[in-house]
Amino acid sequence: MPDTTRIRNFSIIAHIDHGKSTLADRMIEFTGGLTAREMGEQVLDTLDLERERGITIKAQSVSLNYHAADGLTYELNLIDTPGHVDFTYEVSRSLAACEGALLVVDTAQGVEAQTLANVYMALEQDLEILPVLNKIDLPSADADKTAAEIESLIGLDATEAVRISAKHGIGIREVLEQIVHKIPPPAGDPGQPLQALIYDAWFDSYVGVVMMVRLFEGEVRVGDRIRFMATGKEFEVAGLGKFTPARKEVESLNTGEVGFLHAAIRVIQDTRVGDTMTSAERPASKPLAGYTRIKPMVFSGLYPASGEQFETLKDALEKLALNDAALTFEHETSAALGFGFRCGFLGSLHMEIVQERLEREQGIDMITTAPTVVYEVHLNSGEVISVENPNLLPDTTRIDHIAEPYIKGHIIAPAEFVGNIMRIAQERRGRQIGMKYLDDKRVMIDYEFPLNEIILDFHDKLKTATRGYGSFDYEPIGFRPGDLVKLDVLLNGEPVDALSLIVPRDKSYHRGRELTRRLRKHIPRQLFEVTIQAAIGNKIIARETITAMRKNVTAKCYGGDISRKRKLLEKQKAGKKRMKRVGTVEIPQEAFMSVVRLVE
Amino acid sequence: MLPDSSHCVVTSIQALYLHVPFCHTICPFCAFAVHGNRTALHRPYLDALRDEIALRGKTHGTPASAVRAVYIGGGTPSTLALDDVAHMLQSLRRNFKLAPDAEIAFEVNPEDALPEYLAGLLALGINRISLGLQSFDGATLAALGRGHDAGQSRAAAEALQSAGPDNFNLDLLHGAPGIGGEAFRRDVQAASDLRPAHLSLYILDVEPGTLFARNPQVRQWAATHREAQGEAFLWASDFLTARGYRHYEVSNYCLPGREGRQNLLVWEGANYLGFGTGAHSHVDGMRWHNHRHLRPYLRCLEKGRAPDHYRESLTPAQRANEALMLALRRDTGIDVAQWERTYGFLWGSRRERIAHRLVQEHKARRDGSRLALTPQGFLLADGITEQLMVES
Repeated sequence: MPDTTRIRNFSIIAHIDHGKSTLADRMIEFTGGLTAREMGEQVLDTLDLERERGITIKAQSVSLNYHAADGLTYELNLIDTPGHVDFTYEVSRSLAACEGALLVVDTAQGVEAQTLANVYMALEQDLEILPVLNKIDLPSADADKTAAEIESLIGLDATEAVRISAKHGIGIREVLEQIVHKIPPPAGDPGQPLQALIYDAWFDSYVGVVMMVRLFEGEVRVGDRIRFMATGKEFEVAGLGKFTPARKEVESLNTGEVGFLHAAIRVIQDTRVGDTMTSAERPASKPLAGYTRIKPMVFSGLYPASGEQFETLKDALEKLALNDAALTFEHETSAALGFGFRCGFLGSLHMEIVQERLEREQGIDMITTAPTVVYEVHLNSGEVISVENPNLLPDTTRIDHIAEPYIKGHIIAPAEFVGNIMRIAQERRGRQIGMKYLDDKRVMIDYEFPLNEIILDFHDKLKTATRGYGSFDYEPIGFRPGDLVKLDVLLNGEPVDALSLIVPRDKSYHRGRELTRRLRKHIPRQLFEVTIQAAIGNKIIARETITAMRKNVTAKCYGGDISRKRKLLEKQKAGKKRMKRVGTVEIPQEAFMSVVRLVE
Repeated sequence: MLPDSSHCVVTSIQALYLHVPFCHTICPFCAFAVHGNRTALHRPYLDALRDEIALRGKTHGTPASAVRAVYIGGGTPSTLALDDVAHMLQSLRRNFKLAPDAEIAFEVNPEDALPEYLAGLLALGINRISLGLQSFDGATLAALGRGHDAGQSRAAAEALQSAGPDNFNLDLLHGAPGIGGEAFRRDVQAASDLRPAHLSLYILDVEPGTLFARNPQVRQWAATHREAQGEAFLWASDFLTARGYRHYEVSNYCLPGREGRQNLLVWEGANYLGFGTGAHSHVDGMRWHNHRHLRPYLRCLEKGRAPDHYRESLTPAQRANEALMLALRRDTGIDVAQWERTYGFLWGSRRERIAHRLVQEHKARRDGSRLALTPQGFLLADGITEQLMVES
């Protein structure tokens, strides 16, 4: 009979740079999961992109054997979570596989806005939360003050919080001991029918789809027939294993355990993260409460730079969507850009990461249109439609009003920057709803914003306005009516659908001017003069001109060397493949993104 | 199948080019295959040239019709002694049939344009002389690093006029670093006063691999003076047209009926053979060029091999693009319907839209199915060609 009393499943919650990955590495090292030589920097961040950006995107898992002070050996399953606000969904699915979480706070920085959001999520899921005070080696560290903040802000008892320096390996054993003694072992009955939560999945070109699963009831063995309760599909288990963090194959996984599973699944749509896996012979009566599927908040059009890459892009999106449930995509066609996809993302960072992964890992050249939020359009007929592409906005005569999504945002920053924060919030249609002093130096301000105002670069602006000290988090609070209009861009009098935006009416003139000015900067001189106009309906509100090229000819056609000149021109032509041609105007990729970065 | 030039004997060669790579000094803007003048190299080079002419004469020398144009260029052909020139022409005549009215052109540098030398060339049957003046202005010549001064320019032009070839060309170069447009205007005026049959006006291009390209100040100057060069170009076009010249190609002007025949044949896609280092040839859709460097060129011929360095047989798209590129550089332009028939590509609505816009903006003229660039259009010929080219 397998013993679940010596299993602990836990996550680490932390703000970016508060030391989550470093702590994870120290625990792996301490328990002998890897020798010091095998330890790369931050083992858990395996994607190149994660290391470069210093953030964890995909949840990763590792199983560690820890010889505790009580003389027993425990299996500690660390389920990694992303730290950025965009990835709330990934956090929630990781937390669903755990009984406890470490809350790591940098004692030199204090509690940050994003920490709060994740802690609340963990509290909602009834997890045991262990505060850990990190970076006590820093001269500016103030562990007492941070402990007080945790108590006052979150309401957690921090008197027993372990004080550590993950960087220097101080306090690691104490953390491991607390995991063993404070986090409850998994409940569940090995004798019951199999119930396992799929909390991550990816495609491996050798074995097909690989899933990370957490068993809540029953057990699973290699060769068992399994069924996915949402899709109804059945497969035979081809392999099971754990990451220690090296990949280690096992014959079976039991109640309470965490591990990977593959079953020669070739079609990625057959599996769904959040689904419950059960036994085909002896199925469970009902699935586990999956976690609520979060809807994408930000949409943008992704178009392959050349038509031939359309299928490649489609395959790549399918693969990414497999373990990124928040990514949605559907086929769309633009008059200017041809065939592409309208993709939905959790936020702008999520969008950028998907874009970069497509370009870097799949080698796809893409043009991305300006991100937009979903609008609720209330028609005169009483019908309400969702619009996630400005070009699909119905004719204004049919519209009663448009509502846009709002969010409630929490900003935590040193009090001296309150003025700056208020200024940028006002520029972005923010409405202050509350302010609270955390101590004599730090303040938390609550705002309501239209989501559209913060999707692109609000976070960067906030960092600048607070010299890097400000942190920001938000949650959606529903739709509210707004006085919104569609702003179109015309190049040489022809509308370019991929450049349209929805903007508040009272800012439309300002944005129109800004937008045409930016396009002028990003579209190079052409054979012909290019006029750039911004229009609302039939009314032109701004105009810029790019004068035509003056000279573009080589004087000599070389004594008979015709090939060289032809090749030169052919090369120039090939170099323009990344541009999109609208009428006779060639538009480079940067121009499409430049339109949204309107507030400098 | 395209014919392989080493076995095929039935094609007709209409033009011949002989390259003389030696120069008194190497100009900082020149990108051709050239060597400083070492007289010791003349003999081996001329022997090799004679061998190449004989070698190619065997494969291409029994043409269906006679050669209509010969061009001896460089480098600086006038670094050669008259005897050497005579031998070169003898080799040509021995191996190829030259038409009785063939145009035989020869490039002369001002420092070599002495009355006896010019008279000697004419006596050998050379009937067109091209003088590499570049400018009459001392400062311009110095900025261009030429081996002659203003006085020599003037003396050379006068000598050429009194030597009396009816058909001569003057080369002028505009855009010398640090020199304003006034000097160029005076040059054009002075050159046209001499009423040459032909004038070549080049705008200086900073070519990769040249001394100018390595000089950041020159590059900077060229980059910031593009607009001024364009203005000077249009001024010259107006000025010379008013004086009876035809602006028949981007950089070339002539009195009526006096186009450079060699140039025309090359631009029209005729078959031509080039001899000497770096010389280019074209025979029925096959293009090749010789070794640019003297040593490999000499070695090939010592071993009795053709000195081809690179050969390519053009795809239909490449042929269509070449034809388009060359036609758009000329005032006669391109016959769209004929281009479609010859190369099998559709002109189509996208190209037509561009053409229409060009005509609207006076950058091109449309005459039936013919589309020809105006001088304003010539200034954008590369950009226009690139837009109209087919995907290759």
